[in-house]
Amino acid sequence: MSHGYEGNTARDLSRDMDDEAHSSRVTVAGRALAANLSVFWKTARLYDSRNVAYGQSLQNLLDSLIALHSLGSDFTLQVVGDCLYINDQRLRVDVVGYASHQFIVDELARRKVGGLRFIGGVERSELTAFTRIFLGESAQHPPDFEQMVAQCEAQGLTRIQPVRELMLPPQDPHESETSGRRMVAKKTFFRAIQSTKNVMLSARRGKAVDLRQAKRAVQSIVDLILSQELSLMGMTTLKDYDEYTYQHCVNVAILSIAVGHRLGLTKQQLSQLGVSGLFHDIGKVVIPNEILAKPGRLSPEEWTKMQSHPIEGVKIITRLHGLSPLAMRAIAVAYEHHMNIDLSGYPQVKRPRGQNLMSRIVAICDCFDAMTAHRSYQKHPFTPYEALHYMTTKIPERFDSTLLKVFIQTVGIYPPGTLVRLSGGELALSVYPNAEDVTAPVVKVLREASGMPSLDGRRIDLANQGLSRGQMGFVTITEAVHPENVDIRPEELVE
Amino acid sequence: MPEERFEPERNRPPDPPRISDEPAGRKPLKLPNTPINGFGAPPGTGEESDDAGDTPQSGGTVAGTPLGGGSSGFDLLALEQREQQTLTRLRDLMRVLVRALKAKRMYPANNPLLQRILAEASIAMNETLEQLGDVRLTVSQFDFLFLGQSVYSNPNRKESIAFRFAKDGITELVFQDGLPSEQLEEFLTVLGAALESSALEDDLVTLLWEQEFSHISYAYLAIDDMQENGSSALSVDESSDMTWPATGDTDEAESRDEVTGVPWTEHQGWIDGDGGSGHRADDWNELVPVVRVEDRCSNDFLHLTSQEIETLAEEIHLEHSRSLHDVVLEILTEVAEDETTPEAFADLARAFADLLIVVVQEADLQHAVEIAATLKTLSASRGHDPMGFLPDPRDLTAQAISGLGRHPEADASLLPEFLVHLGPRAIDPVCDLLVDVDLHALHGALQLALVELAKQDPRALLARVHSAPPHAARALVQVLAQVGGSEAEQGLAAATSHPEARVRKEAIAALAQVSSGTTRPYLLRALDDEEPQVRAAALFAMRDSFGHSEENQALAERLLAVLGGPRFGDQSAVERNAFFDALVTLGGPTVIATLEAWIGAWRLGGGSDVKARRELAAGALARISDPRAQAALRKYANSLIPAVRGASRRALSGMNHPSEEQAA
Repeated sequence: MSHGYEGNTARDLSRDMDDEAHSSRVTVAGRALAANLSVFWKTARLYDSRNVAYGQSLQNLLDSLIALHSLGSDFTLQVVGDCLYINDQRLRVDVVGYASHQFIVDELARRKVGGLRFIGGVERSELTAFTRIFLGESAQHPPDFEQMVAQCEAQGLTRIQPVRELMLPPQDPHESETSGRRMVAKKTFFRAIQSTKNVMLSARRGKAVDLRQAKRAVQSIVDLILSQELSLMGMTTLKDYDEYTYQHCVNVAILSIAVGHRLGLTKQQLSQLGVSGLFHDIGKVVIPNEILAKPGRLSPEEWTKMQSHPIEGVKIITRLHGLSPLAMRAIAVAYEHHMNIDLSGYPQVKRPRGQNLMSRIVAICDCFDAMTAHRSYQKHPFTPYEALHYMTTKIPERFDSTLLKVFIQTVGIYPPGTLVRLSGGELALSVYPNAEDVTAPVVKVLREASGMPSLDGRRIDLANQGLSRGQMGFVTITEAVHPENVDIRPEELVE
Repeated sequence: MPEERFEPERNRPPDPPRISDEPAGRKPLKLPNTPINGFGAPPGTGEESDDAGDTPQSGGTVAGTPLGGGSSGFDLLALEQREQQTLTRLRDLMRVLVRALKAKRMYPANNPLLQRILAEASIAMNETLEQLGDVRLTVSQFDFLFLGQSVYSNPNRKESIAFRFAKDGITELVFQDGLPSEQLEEFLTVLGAALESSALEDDLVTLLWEQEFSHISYAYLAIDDMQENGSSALSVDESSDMTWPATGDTDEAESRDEVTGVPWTEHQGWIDGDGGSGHRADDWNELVPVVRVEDRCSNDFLHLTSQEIETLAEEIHLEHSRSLHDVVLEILTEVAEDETTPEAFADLARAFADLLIVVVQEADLQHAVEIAATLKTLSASRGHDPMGFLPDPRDLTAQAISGLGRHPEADASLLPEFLVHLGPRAIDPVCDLLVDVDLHALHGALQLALVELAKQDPRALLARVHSAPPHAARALVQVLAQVGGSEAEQGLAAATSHPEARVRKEAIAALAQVSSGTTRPYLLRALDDEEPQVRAAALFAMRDSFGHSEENQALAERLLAVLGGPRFGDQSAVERNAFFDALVTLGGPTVIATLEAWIGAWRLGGGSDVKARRELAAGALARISDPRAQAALRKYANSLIPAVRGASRRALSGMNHPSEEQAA
């Protein structure tokens, strides 16, 4: 394996500490702006400007503008594609901010506005006036860019200006469709995380749990998986420290549904499997954070406590409304997902019996996702490729061997998030698997053979290259590459 | 506000190889949809075109029919008329659908009236669709709108179909041409279920989604969009409320195990059974990082053998058909057995109760018995009332019966055992069920249950005998007969006074089985009952239980009293014969003396009863093997009164030459 150029990339060269700190502050302030702006717009639609909620959300928005101004002078909140930028710095979407991020992107796009320029010293009255113009008289017929500019001029608003939409080169229709589907997948993914979070927070507080949202989120996942929208599986590569538990649950749900689909489970069963995957770790809401987040070794007492989460999960699920078939399935999965196929895991059952099919599926997906996650105690997690290798060679007795095979057939030998070296020498990221060939995922080229960053970030569907294997130009994967060797964090590359 | 929509799927890539042949879910991708009452639509849907404002309001449209522009002034009148006709037609259709929905909720599936109404609804729907093409309805709070005009309106929140749709965020409903009648019926079933349930889980969107309708589509708002303002603000605030594990800014030194000093990425192996071994992958603790994987995964490993495929397919098939009742019962039992806190145990006990309700509704009585037994045992082991956590026996009993009705294939033989687990509080509801003649097939099982239940508390049953209608009271009397014991006997004795003759008769028969000295007076009294069948039953019972001479004496006196009293006139010939037969068997001086007196009794123009009594008394005396009886007959054979003499002589002659009739 050659590491020649990778250790000295352009990114390394630009890693100036001050810039990085500034960039980080802009990101934080930018995300706050997006969150406050979306709340303010929603509030303004519902309430009069004299309302307390209106005033509060306006003040929050003003505060975040001031914070951003303090980091530089004037700035533009810009939309490119479905991404938000503060000037030329992209605001990477995160789980918490996804809803507001998308909301702003959608609202600006509806009005054919490319962004908003904020000049220092903007005042409350200006924000109020601009928002009135921006929202327009009716939700169905918002003003477009030209109308907005005219009205802003008429009212003398100079410190907030709409920016014209960027004219991007026309997209290839196929690419456009693909990107549209990816966007739906992304929305589904983040919505599922939010639903999981809502349920878990309610469960933790002992409140009534509204499962509708979670069920709908799972239905969306099922629909996407059924329509072969495998980019959703690529989303599981995204690992967010702060939202780990929720995201892990969603990842497990996605992977489980994908496996279930390959097994030929019905739609309703996939839905049950997904919801069960979503709540397999719900018992962790009663495990103290000190244990969950503890770096390194757990004491025997702490480990015992950790092992109680399947039982706690059962207790929480039983407190839901009645015992529907769905709740029963979730109980079985929550209780059994750590039992192991050889019953060597926990909890130890008094009357030995096998794990249920869905519990076995979730167990594999759970283990895989947990192994590949960055945690406080796992700073260098397994790569997906390593995780598969480990599961199949070191601890195969814990899993249903047949299902483990099916799992690998589902995620591929190079699961999403795996860095791979291509036969041409390029470094690429496995984006999502190919159903028909486990060795040939769809990959995104990150670096050319020369070691230079790829300019076009092209995607290659290794299973559908239009060439026969062995033909000149046919691309294959030669090896999996460890991220540390190339100083790349795959989870940051998820689009 | 973005919406989501289900639409028939197009251009779907081929499915990957699947293990099972079970039908896979095929449902389209949800795509952003036109905003109807939302805040904004996602870009690129192509539906926010400039001429969107030309479409009439936000109401529904008929697919492919330009209802808006395109017509000149000349056509306006015709167009308006056509629109009115369309609206009228749709209103009629909605009325038919509402009627079908009501019928669906009211009648069992095999009801002919329901079948007819459903057929009419299907015809009306298809005629409408044929004429108009796809029908797209906009959902408002209490209305379905078409072209901005209401075609259905109902402001009653409980009954309004539109409200039920709107409540779950459904904004549009589309019926597509070619809608099969089965789908329409399923749609009505789903709607009926949704109207009857207010549970959070019964989201109409989910219910529709599960049905995979090919000709009914709908658009809906995401739940977070339905509550967007509150939740959006909340999501910002709440994220800080619960701090999930974060990495923190740990330095490189933390990358080493504090115990072993081994760098994490270099650390290999794990200690079997050592739960606190240090490195972990979340709750899969032993999974420590390994040295980098250089070797390739073997493709051979991925090959599924035919046996593996077969086993898996079998398991998947099983997954389609099985219930999880047994698994959940085992899990709940294991969790509850180890639970130490009373509050948590109470929660688990309630879960048992929930599970019990589920299995009972599904007529899974085997698990119902297991669950009830387990719950009682667990409760008792913690010092609780064993019945304390069981749901209301009245509800459970009713649900068990209705479950059996819905699942005729279910095994009802365990019904008695299940009902017995519910304890004496189940007596009343079970008694109520005995009243229901439609449940005749289950009466045997119900009676069996009552026998065991009444052994625990007979008084609960006694109270029901007198208030129950005749057929149920008879069944209860039969139950009491099997229960036995003094309280049951008292109950039976009391039943001999029941207003209904058939009940009294049943009680007499039951008392005969008890054969207790305390119950004998009731039998004797029954000999004088106003109903011949009761008297016959009493006599039959007495004849089978003749005992000591004192008892015989009492019986004889009672028989003689009846035969000598006014009741004699009501008795049939058969009954009279039976009574006299009994007297013959009993014999004794009193009997002979009384019979002798009846032979000699005569009065001018004597009634037929006197005559009949004389004849029968003579016949009886002739059959009593006592010299005193024959002496009496011979004495009257020379009587100066022809009737007396004749009767005696006939009796004597029959004694020497018994006729065929007498022999019989």
